[in-house]
Amino acid sequence: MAVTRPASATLRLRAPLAVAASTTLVCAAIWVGDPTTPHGPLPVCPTKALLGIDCPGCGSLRMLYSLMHGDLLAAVRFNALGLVAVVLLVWAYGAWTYGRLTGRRIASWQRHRWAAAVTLSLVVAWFVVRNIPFAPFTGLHV
Amino acid sequence: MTAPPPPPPPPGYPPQPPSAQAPKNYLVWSILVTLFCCLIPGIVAIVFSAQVNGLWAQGRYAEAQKASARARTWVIISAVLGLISVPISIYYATKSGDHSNAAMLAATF
Repeated sequence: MAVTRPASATLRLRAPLAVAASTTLVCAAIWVGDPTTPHGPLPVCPTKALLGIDCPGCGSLRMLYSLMHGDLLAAVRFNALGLVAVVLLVWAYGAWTYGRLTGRRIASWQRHRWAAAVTLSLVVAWFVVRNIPFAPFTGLHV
Repeated sequence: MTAPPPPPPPPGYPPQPPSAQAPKNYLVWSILVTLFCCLIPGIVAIVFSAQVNGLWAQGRYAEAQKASARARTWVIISAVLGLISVPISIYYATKSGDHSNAAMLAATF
């Protein structure tokens, strides 16, 4: 075994702290950039810009902006599936950080056998549903 | 280091996995790039992510590792394309005359 002594808590938390720092930076950029106001500095989804369709990730920046401002309904409106993804990503981050802290691998949802297949189905379904060109689906356009 | 190759498994037994755990499926990364970067490469990454655990469970270890590597490649492609779009977008935002947000962002960092 290469590891002879347990690493200090600071060392083990280095990667989770780096992720937290970059997340904070991204959130600050979204807060300042205000994606809910058109023609701001934050990038429009390349798919949307090139093809003019709503991809499964479209509206994510506006969703996060609304979430940070406590407007849950607006967050759902901008990207409902993205909001679910945010919850799952926070869960995965928590399990990963806890696992690093305790030195054990914590089984999180993404290790589940069907996790990726379910994700793929949901993403494809969301992609189709939000591009159907008649009511009530037009209400999902962002 | 040249270790002798392991002896072939006795007939009638399934091949043994090369390690105890399935290769990484990069699902979290695939979701991240699908949400924040651009559609097509992100979805391709999720497709390969979805193959990893199933292939592993079927005992197709080499293919599972290949799917894992491909998921990683597509995550990187997607992230690079997404990162390229940021300066382009800031350039157009500045050019279009709406300076307020761009200037605020520039002042922040």
